[in-house]
Amino acid sequence: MSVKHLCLLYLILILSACGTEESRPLSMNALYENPDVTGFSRAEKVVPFEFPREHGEHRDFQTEWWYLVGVVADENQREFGFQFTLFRQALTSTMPSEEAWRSGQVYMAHFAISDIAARDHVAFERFSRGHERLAGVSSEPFKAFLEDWVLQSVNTTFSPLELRTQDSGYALEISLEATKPPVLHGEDGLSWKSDKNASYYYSIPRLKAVGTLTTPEQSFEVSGEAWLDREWSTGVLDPNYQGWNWLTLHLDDGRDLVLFNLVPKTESVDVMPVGMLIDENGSRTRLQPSEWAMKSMRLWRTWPVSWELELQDKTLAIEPAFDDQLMSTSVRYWEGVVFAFDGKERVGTGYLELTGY
Amino acid sequence: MLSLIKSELRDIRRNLLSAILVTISLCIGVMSVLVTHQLSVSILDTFSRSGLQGSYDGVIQLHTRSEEEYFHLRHRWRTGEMPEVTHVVPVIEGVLSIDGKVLNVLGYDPIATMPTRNDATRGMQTDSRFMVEASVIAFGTDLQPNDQVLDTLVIRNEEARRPQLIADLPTAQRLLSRDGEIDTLWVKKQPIVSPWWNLLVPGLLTAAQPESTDVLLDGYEVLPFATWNPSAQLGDAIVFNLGMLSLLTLLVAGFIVFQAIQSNLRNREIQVQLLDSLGISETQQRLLVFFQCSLFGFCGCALGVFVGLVALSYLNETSLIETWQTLNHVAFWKAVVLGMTTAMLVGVFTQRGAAKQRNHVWWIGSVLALIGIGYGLWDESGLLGASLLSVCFCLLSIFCVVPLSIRGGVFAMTRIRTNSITLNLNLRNAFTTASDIRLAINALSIAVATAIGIGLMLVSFKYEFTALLDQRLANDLHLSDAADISEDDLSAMAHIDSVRTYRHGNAQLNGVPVRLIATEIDRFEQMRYGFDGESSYGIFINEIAARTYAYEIGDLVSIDIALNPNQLVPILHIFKDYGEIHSRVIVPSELVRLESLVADRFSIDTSQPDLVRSVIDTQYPNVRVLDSDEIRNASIQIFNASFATAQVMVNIAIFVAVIGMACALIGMQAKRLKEMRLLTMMGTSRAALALNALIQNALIGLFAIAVALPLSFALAWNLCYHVNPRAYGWSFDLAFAWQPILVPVLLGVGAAMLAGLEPMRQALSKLVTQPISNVR
Repeated sequence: MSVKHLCLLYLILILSACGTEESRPLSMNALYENPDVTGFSRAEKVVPFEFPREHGEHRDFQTEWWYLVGVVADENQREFGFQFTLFRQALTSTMPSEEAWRSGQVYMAHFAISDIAARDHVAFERFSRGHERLAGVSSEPFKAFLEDWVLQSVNTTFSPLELRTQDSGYALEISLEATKPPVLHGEDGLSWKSDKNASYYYSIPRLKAVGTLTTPEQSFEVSGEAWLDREWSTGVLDPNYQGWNWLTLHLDDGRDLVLFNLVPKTESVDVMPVGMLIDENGSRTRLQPSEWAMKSMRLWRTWPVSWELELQDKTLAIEPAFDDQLMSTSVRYWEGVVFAFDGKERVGTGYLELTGY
Repeated sequence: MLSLIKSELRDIRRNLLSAILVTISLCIGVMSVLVTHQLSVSILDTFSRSGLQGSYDGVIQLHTRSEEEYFHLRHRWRTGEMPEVTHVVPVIEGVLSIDGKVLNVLGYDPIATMPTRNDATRGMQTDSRFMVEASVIAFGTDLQPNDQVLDTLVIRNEEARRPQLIADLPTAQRLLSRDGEIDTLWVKKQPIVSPWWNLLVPGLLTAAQPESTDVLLDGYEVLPFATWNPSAQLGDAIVFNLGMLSLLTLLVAGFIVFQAIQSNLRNREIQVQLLDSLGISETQQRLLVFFQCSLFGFCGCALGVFVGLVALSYLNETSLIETWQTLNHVAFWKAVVLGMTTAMLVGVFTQRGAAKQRNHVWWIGSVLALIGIGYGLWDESGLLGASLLSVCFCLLSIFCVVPLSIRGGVFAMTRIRTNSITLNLNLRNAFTTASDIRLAINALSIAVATAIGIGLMLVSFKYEFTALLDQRLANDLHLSDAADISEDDLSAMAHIDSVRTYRHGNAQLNGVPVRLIATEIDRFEQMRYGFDGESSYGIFINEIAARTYAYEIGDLVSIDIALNPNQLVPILHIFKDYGEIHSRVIVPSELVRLESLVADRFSIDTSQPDLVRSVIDTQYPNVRVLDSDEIRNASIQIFNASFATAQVMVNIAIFVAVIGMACALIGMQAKRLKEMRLLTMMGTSRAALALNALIQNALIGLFAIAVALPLSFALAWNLCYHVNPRAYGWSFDLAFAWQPILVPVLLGVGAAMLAGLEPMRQALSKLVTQPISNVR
């Protein structure tokens, strides 16, 4: 060993010791630091849903989101996934004052595009306080916005909708038309997440999506299908759980599937599996836990991105369009396009969301 | 190889004193870096605790100060303008008078700072009341949690240098009675986590940053954040300067280790030849040296970290374990890595045998130093350039002045012949020894030059600072925190001859932020600020404002809170403002809207200062009353305390240099032994030998001082005319004084003589030769 080798070894040791402080993702609570749920309403009983009112905000609940995902393709069948989510978090359970700046609400929005051919996933994040010029949600006509990111009704009815988002050269201008009615999850919209915690939850399982998707390189005229989720609650996640797995699929036979279970902190805790199958007409069938099972097949980093789905009499492989669809946002989670395969045949397209890993 | 290592260890044991001194040198260097970095982190923490500053890059001044303009600019940003910007935060600022005290109020939209991982800003949102109710977080005030400030709840109070209330935007608007207004937008374009090199050298980002930001927004000027809120910049400048001084100690330590190892190697010529004949390759021998240096480095680092922890425990008044647990890991690794690197670099570059004359190294070094000097002289190079200037002066001394002086000295000595053999011998030996211990000479001269340079700068600064105090403290009594008193109240008191009112507030001068003081500007007030011109219409600005915004005397400016905001007013005078870090402007009271300001300071002339003071103390217990002497003494105390750390660092550097000189002279003892034997044979007594050795050491010390003097003046000049103006915005002329020169000179010469005592004792103890006259 020469002096040079020793120097090289030493240099490696130095470099391994020098590192910038790693940016750690935060939890939603860490961002808002308002764990106090006192005074907020809780999802405890079935209440009749009234539309279009339910499309708007439920400020007596602490947390709420409007969640839209879809897979679209251009005329050459180049496929893209997109996600737009608006989260609302209330800072107070008391009614806010009339002052514009004191809505007592904070909004966070995520916008992501998965360019499947390029295996490129980009995600953007914005925050704003509730303010008529900055962020908010109204129900009639429906408009959910955070600055210039907008999901809104085109006219007085809820559907059709338009979505406009842009950041750093990526943009979406898409019109969405519901082709199936809203379906209520759980017990007429009351979706239990543990023995004591529940949320109000409904989805519009299919929306026809047509519009323009822009990347820094070029624009694409695209069309495809999307899924809209609406959920509101107070303190929905029981302390025994650290996250959830959520899967939605648009099956090629016209049916839609949504499955989710919770990720417990210890194995002894029930994962609370929930499944629902929606037929071509929008009629739902609740799946019993015995009717389906999901088994993780492969990890990407710590994320179980590949699954085997036992659904009634079939076995489907759920594979990501590509692995790196991590949302490197303040709250880090994996959210990406997945395909369902029956053997080698692709039988469905959808989105998978993984949190708590 | 194992037997070779054992032989190396035996060699270290034989030269134990040298090894100990080398280890101590490294230990002190490592300790300096560790302590300085840890203190720097604390200083920066203090500066950043009271706000968001430090995290932002630029400030956009709104033209109309309206929310509408904010929403419009925000939309422009969101739709593609300023693409490099990641955050735009609306801010309103102002002052508020509470219980006679003026508090700065800063309001901002905390959600606009998100997403953020900055603890300081995130901490502000931990209480939901901050955005839901009218509430403030107080910094550096005596307000307590649950106190009320104009029906606004104090959530908590935190320590800070500067009293300030931080509030949610609408709360601040309400406190300042400015509903619907927004002053500025703070923009951020970089991630909040500092680049790793700013973690390694705290303050480097500020020192290196240009005085303009590269963010462009059509129709607006984006000011660098530091010019808007210079507190963080001041903190950065302080810690950067301290960091540079700690690196000086390490540099000196590096020279010392190199010199000691080099001298030691030269004394081992026989051993080296023996190893050659045994077939030990040069690479293996170099590995042994590398091993030896690494061992010194390891011991020096371990000892240095321990001593540093002890020093920090003492300074922070905490236990050793607690200090270790809270030690900044960057400080630890930086000190250890620098210490080890210094020792190991010496191991790599140490030469076997006599040093070769490498003229091209001196040439390259000198040219690079000159290029660095040219860059440092460029005004736009900022504090980093000014620091580089000092470094390059040192390099020029190392690569040019010292070698040339030594060569000149040796050349002269070969030609000068006196009648005294002893004198001839001493002169010749002094220069040849200086040539052999060039690095130790460099170390001593740099340490002494830094001491003289800083000493001269301090004398110059203090001279002008004292003159400034005499000028400003012309009145008998000075009242502050006195917003509850009016000028009429004071004038109505007995024994008061005259009262001057000073109103404070924030304002904009040509759209840029300044702290404004309005008062009656008559001849007396003009003299207080050192203005002796004829004109009386105009304003005074401090030199920080002049430097920050490139204002000159005669420039016409608008003042946003003027009675007529469109009226242009000339700048009459630029005044010195030592200790102030903000841009300040003095305007005649009749020019501005007085309701925008708070009258909280007064100065009084009275024939009965004690009596008046006691009356005010009784009637207005919240008002702070000080006489001129109290302010002067407190100011001088603060001045001395501010520079005490720098003085300590320089003294440490001199101490290390002295150790280095001892190491170098120990290394020369073998050579000196032959000379002493010869002199003894010629009949020179031991006392005369000792005296000769002492004289030679003194001559070496004098030589080091002689080459240090031009460097010290260059450093003092740089500190006065570049470092201070660029770091703090204060300028003063270089003044000459003997005291700051004499003390380091005597220390340096004395140190060299002292350093030679032990080698001389060792040499004399080994002397067995009898004088020829004694031989029978």
